[in-house]
Amino acid sequence: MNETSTGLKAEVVPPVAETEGQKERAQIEAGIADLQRIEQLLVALKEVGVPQVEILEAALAGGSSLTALQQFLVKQLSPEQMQQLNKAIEAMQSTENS
Amino acid sequence: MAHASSVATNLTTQTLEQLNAKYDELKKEFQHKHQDVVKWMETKGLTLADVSSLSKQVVAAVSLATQVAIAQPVEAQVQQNLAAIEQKQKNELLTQISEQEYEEIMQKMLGYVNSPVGHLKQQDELYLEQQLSDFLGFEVAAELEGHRLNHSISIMGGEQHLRRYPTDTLAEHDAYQEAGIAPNRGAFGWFTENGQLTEEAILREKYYFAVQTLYLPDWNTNHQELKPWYKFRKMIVINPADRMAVVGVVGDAGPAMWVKKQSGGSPEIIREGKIWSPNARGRTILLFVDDPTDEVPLGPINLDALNLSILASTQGASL
Repeated sequence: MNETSTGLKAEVVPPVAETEGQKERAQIEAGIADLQRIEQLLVALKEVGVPQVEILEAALAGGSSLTALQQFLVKQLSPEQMQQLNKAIEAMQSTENS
Repeated sequence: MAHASSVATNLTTQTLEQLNAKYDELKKEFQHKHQDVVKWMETKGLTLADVSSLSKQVVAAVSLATQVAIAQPVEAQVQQNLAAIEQKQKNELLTQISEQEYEEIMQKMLGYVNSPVGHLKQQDELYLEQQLSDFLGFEVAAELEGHRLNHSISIMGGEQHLRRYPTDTLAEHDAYQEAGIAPNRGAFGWFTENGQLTEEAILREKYYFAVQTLYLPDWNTNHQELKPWYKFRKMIVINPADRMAVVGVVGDAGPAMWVKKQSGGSPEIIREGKIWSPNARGRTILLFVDDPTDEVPLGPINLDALNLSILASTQGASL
């Protein structure tokens, strides 16, 4: 695929695990982080009364397009629900970062 | 040394065991608490990593959608625009296009994009404009208000992100960061409106086209009039090979002649419109959207899905 007219491409350097143990450890830690991230979002959605599976389904259907998901959210949620959800997510992220 | 190594291995094993136990415990708890989500994941064949990635998308989309909701307290503009187009399609019964006609249009467009770049014969152009306008529910044209680009059939190249305001960085763009960001602003200026990064401004950068205004025959003598006309002019790119289209705006001038491409698309346009799929290879149709009341939303359109929706509404209307 021709990425850009100018031919510029971003370089991605994959992390290198030094030993098998470290590799396994990194995988488990990533798994735990995934679980925690999903759990926190599901809790935030539940708090605001937003159907969890429907939102995830919309995210899946939209592929990598955030626009499609945004349009779905705007259609499905009232501005108040959206603000509540955003606050819940912000609270979740601040806990995660603290 | 052998002893030290053995101790280190034991420590690692112990830590791994503890971590594994924690992971198992968390998984069990998750499966118990969110049975409907787990069931959904199973039916879709998704892993936790997949859903974690979807979660990140939801978080980003909520943040952006909230900005819209706050800026426009009654209804978000996106919702209004979409509803307006859906309604327009129903009202005008754009159901005159049968499945067979749809296939014919797609096949013809495929033939057009594989012909030399430039413009179609007048008869073909009129046919295409009429069929597409009927099908899409809004007017499209190769020439608008007396303005015509040098190519409506072109090979579209992939562009980088553009800076929307002077201090904008790649990290501020929510998708396709691997495309990079151009060092200079777009040829038509910043995307912000009165210094504000509005939802409209974000969408314009996401879905921008680069068109070769610099090679228009009257550009050098008339650019003072032409530049404001082209700035953020709404256009649509059609990729008939993958049956995708994307509505965007003119946001930059280019590509240069030596690139051997006649138009450019933002990272969002290239990826979401599948412009550089193995079937399409950049071969596309680029037309103006005649939308004086700014009703047509920016973003991708799945032509097959639109056709199905039209067929469904035909069946509903005929009942």
